[in-house]
Amino acid sequence: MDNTTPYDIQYLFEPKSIAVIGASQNKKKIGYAVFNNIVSGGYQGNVFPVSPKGGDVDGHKIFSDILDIDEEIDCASIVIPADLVKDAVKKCALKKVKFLQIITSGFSEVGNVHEEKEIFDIASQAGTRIVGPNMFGLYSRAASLNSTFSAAKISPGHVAILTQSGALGIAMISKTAVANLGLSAIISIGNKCDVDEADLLAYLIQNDDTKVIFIYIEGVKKGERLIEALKVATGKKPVIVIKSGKSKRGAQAAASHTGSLAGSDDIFDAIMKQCGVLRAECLEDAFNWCKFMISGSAPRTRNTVIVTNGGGVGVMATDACEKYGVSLYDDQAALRGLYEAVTPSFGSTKNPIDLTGAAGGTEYTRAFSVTAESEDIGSTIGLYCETATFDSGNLAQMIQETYARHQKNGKPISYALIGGKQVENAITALIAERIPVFNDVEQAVSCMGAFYRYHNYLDEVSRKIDEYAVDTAAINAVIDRAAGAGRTFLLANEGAAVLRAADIAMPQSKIARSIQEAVQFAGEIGYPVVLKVVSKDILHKSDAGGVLLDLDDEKEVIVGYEAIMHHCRMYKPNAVIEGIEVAEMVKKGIELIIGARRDPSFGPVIMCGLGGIYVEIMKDISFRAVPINRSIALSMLEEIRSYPLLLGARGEEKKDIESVIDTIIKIGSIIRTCERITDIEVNPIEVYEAKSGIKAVDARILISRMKEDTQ
Amino acid sequence: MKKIVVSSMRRNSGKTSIIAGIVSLMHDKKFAYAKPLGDRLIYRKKRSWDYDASLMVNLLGRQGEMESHCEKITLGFDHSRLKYMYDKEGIERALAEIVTDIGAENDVLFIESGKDLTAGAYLNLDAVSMTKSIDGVLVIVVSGDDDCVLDDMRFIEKYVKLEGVHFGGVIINKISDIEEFEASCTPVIREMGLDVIGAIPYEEPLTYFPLDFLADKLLARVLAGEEHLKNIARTILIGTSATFVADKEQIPARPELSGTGQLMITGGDRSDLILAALERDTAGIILTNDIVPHQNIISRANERGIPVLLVGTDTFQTARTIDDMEPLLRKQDTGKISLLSQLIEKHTNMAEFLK
Repeated sequence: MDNTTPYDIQYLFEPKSIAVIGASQNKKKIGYAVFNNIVSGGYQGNVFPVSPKGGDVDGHKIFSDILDIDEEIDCASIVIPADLVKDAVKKCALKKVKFLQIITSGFSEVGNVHEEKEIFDIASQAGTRIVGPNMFGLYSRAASLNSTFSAAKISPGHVAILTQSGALGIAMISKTAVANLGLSAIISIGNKCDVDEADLLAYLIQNDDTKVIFIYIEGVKKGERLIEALKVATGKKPVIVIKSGKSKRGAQAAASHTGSLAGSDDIFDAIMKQCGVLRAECLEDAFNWCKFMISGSAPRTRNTVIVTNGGGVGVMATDACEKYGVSLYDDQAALRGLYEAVTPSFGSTKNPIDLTGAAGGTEYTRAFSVTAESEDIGSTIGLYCETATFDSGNLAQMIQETYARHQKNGKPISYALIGGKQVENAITALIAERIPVFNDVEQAVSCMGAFYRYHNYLDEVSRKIDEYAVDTAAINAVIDRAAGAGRTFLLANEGAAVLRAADIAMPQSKIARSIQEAVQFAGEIGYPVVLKVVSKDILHKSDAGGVLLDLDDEKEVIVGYEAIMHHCRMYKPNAVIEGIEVAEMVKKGIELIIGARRDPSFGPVIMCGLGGIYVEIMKDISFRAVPINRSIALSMLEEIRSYPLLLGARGEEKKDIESVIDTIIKIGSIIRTCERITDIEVNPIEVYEAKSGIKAVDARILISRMKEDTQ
Repeated sequence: MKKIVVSSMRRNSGKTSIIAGIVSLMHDKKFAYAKPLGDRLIYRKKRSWDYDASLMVNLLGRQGEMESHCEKITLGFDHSRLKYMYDKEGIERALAEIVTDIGAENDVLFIESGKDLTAGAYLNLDAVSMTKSIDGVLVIVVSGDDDCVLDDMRFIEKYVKLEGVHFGGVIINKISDIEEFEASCTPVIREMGLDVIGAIPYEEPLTYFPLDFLADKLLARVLAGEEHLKNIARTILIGTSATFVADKEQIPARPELSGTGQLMITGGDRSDLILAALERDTAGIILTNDIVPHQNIISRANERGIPVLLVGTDTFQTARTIDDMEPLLRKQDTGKISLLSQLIEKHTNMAEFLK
């Protein structure tokens, strides 16, 4: 094959033939477990055990060398000591094996980066792709292939799991069996020396068995690829992610564990939201959401109704709905019309529908029938507290029937059942039938919240990209000058020039090199003006007495110019003062910050938030990966706590949100198109009333050390 | 009206202090003051003020005059501004206006030169040019060790006196051993034919820092003893190293560490040093690195009436900043001003000179 065209990832999940290099007759060895799982799991393709010891395993002849096998090999699982892996990969490359699953550990995760790179280079020269090293194999329902060394039997289903942790992956296989969560695929990615999440998603997106994808991730290496793959995946099916390494300590553990650096969690979280990925905090949530998502079709309305026999759990569910963003149906007249007939007079037809503790199976069935049938109701949360009036022995049957009715009408329903042994037995029986029942209100509502978050994303997502045609030639000229002077940062006037190249409104300013010029420029700009020292040796201008504000006339400019020169000479006698910037005095507005940086994991990201001097303290900011569109830029603003200030708080006029969105798009375009810029921070940006625009007051821009670094 | 231009051969010779001593001594005369070429710029309310000019106007009780004539009292600081605002004739006119507008209705107009005799020469604002321009009398302050004083005196005799200006004489300031000076230097100076208006001895108290001055200059937060900020720091102890044992028993055993009016500079976490200082005759304590000590320590400082100042800089930087500070005279330093008056009265014939 042409080495530049990678093999289709389908060969990994649906190989026609598989070799197990390191297959063993010893039942305690992983080499045996992998071989046995493949054979006993019902795999229909050809399996070739390979080991220099020869002999046979469970009636299959063991080949002493993969090169002795005459047939074409689509996939090879390597389960041998680390020091033998390189030779095995060389032979697989010779054999033109399409995919290698390297289960063996002892590479970059323990610092052995060099050998991992060698293995990758050998394989990639032959076009052979590698999963791992340090992975546990894979399960693929489509091929009935279980090449893992898990002891648990994998039941087929519709959830695909990608995991960066091998041990956790093996444990998850067992856990999915207990939870009766059937799998369409499970694969550990290990050290990701070649195949990564984006490659695997490409298969799972088009795999019909997979209805939900769950990813456990510790660190991201090629974030921009992952973002694109996730955007495509979430357009087709829900993707749920758990990312560990949120805390600083956790990130360190992740780095030593997988050889990959965990990125900033704030950025990761924002980007997952941007891609429509549902981020779970724990395995239990993730599994619950997976189970629930499998059965859910797109909701017809956002109206949810809670049906309960207890006021307390009803209130708990109501609180949880607010927490998880589930909207409760609030048309009181319509609710009364729908539920009056099925609710006792001392109950409540307000949402939650309280059937009271007297409710039995019949009352529940009638109430659930209303929710299942009504066109105005999109989903149901069913709550049950064990009472003497309801024979809990009939509980499972009532739920089976009402669940089936909801399914038939394409309506999601989740149940929370609270009680003793009989209730727990009912839950166990219903879980076996993959019905979303929980023994806790929070879990039942959390599932519904995740379901709606995903569908809201689908309704709102747009693939449109808004970009601004930045004058990159002008920006590159500024960067060339700064780099030529050996700087990795731009001076204030250079930063302003970069923003002007993107048509971002800055206060008018000019650099004066004498009092005459300062007076002339102030006259041209118009009073009042600001004076600021320009010197690469004085970064903290205010500390040096190098900034004077609100100078109203020529006399004040003359005195101010002299005072700045005097103060700066006192502050740093050897400072080279290039001049004094005479700038328009910007009038006060709402102060925002807009920044962008080249994230080591995800590439260019943009940030906006409440600006001014308290940015670090308030931390009221939101992130997105660029490119973005105007609607995403608006969502960034809506996400910050200070957004009401832009809408006009305390009787003030609404601010110019459109101009802020323009600026976010423009700064995103700068970071995307000017690769030598690593960080931009524009703070403050004064935002004025609607249609009055913005003014970017100050810009700090960092550039990479060498032009070649990024080219 | 007598127009006296006061200059010095070197910076920080004590020109302003001498003028301050004179005006506070002679209540029978009306004085006016100007410093056309400023050198200690204070920027306030969009105006630049010279520190010395501001002090003198306050001492003379003419704050209103400062408001209306501030640009006449000090024409500027930097050449760039002065060149932009004045040509040669403009400078002449501005100096003439000082005489007419500020000096009017006074017995004596003091015009203080820039930092030394040559400052402002390019703009005709040096002491000699100004003396000629206003037809005044030049008085030069010299200070330093004996050799330095003799060098300066000879220089004046050879060059300055010959410039054709009305030379009033010299005031020799900050003489460390007045008797020794009288014996060895005065005869030589007499031979030079220079008029000596006075020979003023060095007085260490004039170099002491009041705690409120330090608090102001260091932008310090006062944690305790606010009502005792007038305390004077006579000596400075820097407590940085763990090898320095701030033991009550040990400090008095070391003469350089004992005595009254000490200022302790140390980190806010050094409770051992702070407590030791609080039990002694300490003028004040400066705590560095923005570390606030335990409330009990602050309470103890309040009980003892010892000001405790808190600064953000580290101990080394704080000590260096204080070391670089000039003990500038302030209006509220009444003790220092009174001492200056006494020195002028006792060691100069200024009364005669001003007749």
